[in-house]
Amino acid sequence: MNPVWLIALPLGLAFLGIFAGKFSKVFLWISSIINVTLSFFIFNGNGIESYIIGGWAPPYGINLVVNDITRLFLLTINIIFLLALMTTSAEVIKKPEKNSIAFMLSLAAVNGILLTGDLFNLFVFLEISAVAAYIMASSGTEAVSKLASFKYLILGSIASSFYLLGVVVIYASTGTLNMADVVSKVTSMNPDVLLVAGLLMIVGLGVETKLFPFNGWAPDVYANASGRSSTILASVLPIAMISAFLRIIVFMINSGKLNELTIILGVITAVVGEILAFSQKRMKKMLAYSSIAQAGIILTMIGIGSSKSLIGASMLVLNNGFGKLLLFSVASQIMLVVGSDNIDDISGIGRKSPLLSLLFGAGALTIAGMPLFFGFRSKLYIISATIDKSAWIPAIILITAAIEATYYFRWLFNLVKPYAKLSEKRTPIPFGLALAGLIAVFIIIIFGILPQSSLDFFNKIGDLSVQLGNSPMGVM
Amino acid sequence: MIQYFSVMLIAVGIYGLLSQKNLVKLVVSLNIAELGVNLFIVSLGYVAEGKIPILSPIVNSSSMNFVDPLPQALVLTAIVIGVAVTALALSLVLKVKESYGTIELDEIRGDNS
Repeated sequence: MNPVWLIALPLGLAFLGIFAGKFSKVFLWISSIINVTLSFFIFNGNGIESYIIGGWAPPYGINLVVNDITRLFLLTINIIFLLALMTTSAEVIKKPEKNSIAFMLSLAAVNGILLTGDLFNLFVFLEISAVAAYIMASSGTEAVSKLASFKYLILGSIASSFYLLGVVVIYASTGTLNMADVVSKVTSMNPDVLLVAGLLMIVGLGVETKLFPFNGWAPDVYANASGRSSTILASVLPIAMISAFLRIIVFMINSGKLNELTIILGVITAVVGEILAFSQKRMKKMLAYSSIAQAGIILTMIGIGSSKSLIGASMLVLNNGFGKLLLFSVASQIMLVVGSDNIDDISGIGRKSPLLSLLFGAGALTIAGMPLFFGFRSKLYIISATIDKSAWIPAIILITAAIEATYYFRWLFNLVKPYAKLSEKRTPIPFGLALAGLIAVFIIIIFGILPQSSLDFFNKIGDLSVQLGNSPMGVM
Repeated sequence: MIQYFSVMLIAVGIYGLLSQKNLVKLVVSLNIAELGVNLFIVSLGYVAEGKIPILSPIVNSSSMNFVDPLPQALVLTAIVIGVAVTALALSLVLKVKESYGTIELDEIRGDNS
């Protein structure tokens, strides 16, 4: 099964969608469903596989690499994308959206980011996903979303330029663009040049992964984009970007100083994100800051770089993906019903549709890391992975978890208050949101209560990271 | 030498991004910075007295004195992406102008408060 179809199909349908007018919506569903099916087939393989694209053998040509991390992330990313389409289908019916092409582009790009084994190809996919993200960010009904999208565009383009500079510095000193080939030559590079290239790449990827000094765009974009766009931006894209960060900074460059820097910046991101999330009055803003904080914890884990911490990081990435899928789709449904997501306007909505508060509750509890949910397992893993390295990282993670639990519970209690501003007796919940939301809740709980031995694919990630530490990454 | 020049261009672009308040000027600064990056990449492939990297009647011996063609290919792609992003940025500026009536950042902020 050649994984290139995961990229080619949505890209081709996106091109056809330009001429198809109304039918581009159908193309979006077709490409998403086919991608989920294909990624199931890819998930069943094992070992490291390399696929040559364009007929030139690596390291001269471009190749796609499938390993255990890619398999898991591909499957989840495509499933979350499909679920996000389902949960927000009611909004699209109510106010017709013309962004199907942007969603297809972003689906192609996130699959490409996960799969590609070539540095410059990664740059191209990052740019495609960024352009799709700018269009998605500008999809809100209010004028603020256009300005937020413009800011995101400026920051994102400068970041991509920095990433490109980093790639070119590495090309100039190693003479190759293939990631696996770079890994085998990176040890003979001048360490100062490597540091410069790595710093440029951290800036470049830091904007997309929402690392601390570069994440100013995220709250405005997440809070003001339309429901479907913000759901996809917050749940699908972070998985791909974190995967790119992991492969470039940790597996490829793997310089001790840069890993330390990632840990420090990640911890600052987490603390600042949680504190700002605590004081938000708008639900989507709160969720956006919470996303930033989660990204901070994940990047800290990636910076530590041991096999256990990488398992924890990948668990937390997936947990964040499913949790934010639930939370953002509930938030956009509330926006649709109430027309606002201010804390006072939405109090008591949960009483009028119990399923809505169930979905929000499940998302909030798994992000906050309550027992029975996937979040608990991932947080437990993270703390046990960091506790033997140093004492202060688990301490900070526990403090941030406490802040997180506090504000999520406040929002949850606010949602089920006995009195509400809204006069209607019941607000029915759309079928798509109910079905997809329950599937996501089911997945979160299954991952939370299954015994560790049956979650074999997470252990495979740990094994892979050990293997990559010993030998060059993947195959060419 | 040309590398210093391109780094200067990047610095000029970033200075523009930090200091300008007009959205179109921000887009222009972005383009200047991108231009600097592209020049830097092209300059890496430069070889003094280099030949074109194509076997042809004029260059028929495969001596090692070829210009590196890969940076040029990379820059070509980067330029195309840059044009697309600029077009998108300008269309966003149009949208901002439609809804706020101005493209000066400080006036937009003034409207909000």
